[in-house]
Amino acid sequence: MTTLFINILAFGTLLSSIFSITSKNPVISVIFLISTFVQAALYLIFIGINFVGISYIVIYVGAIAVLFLFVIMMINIKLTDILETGNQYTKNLPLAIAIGSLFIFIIFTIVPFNFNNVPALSVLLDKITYFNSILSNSNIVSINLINSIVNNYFLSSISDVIITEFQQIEVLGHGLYTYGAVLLITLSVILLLAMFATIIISRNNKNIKT
Amino acid sequence: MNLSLFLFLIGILGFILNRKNIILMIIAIEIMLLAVTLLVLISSIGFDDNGGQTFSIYIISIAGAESVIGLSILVAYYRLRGTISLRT
Repeated sequence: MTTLFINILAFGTLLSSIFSITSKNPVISVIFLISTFVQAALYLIFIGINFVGISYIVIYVGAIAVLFLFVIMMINIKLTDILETGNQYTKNLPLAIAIGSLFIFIIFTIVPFNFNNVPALSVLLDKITYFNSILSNSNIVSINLINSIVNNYFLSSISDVIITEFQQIEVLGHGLYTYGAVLLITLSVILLLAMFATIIISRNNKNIKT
Repeated sequence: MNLSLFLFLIGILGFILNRKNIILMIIAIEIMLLAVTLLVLISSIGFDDNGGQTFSIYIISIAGAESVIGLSILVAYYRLRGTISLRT
């Protein structure tokens, strides 16, 4: 059941990201971006990464998507400027095909394409190896020969237990404050600089009159 | 792992195909950062390691800072030029 949900969420993530790229109105594009983030966060929660999944929803939907919507509403875009972008696809299409095929070639020579990470198909493969081991009377049933992460992770079905499980947040906080403390301080300085840069860039400058 | 790779590919294609629209370019950068974070998280839970979640927290915060600076540059550009079209 959870593998079915994981399949649906992965497919929905890809589909809504495609919709968010190809849509012409920026508001609809941002709404599909929110849909992508929520589905990716639910995917993470279903495969067992609870706290990061929930903080995805908080940070991306609560901060970044609202920021996008705010900027889009603040500058009133003339839709006639935007609607011409669909015609520009054919000009950039050879570059897109070249880079996409090169990406697929490089990635899938490093990581060979397999159906093992797709949970529905790997469940079917598990059934095949199970029947194989029954027929050959071997005891090696539980060895998951495929590296599917989803299947060999223990998935509890009670959502309250998943959310209030405290161990993962504890370990994450320990990692953040011991060996990642220098990176955490650097990160806070980066966020402070981002705030200063935003204020200075968007300050109403009276000197520049163009 | 295939999900994050294809999501990264979709982000690259959106960045290339929408080169006239700055908002869609920033959205494509967000999708690429999401794909990288998903790759780090899924690989780390595959290795039974916890370091990936720590680094995903870093990547999320960097993504927030990047989108803030990009959108503020967009607002400044709109204030100077009166339009956000990149056509010259």
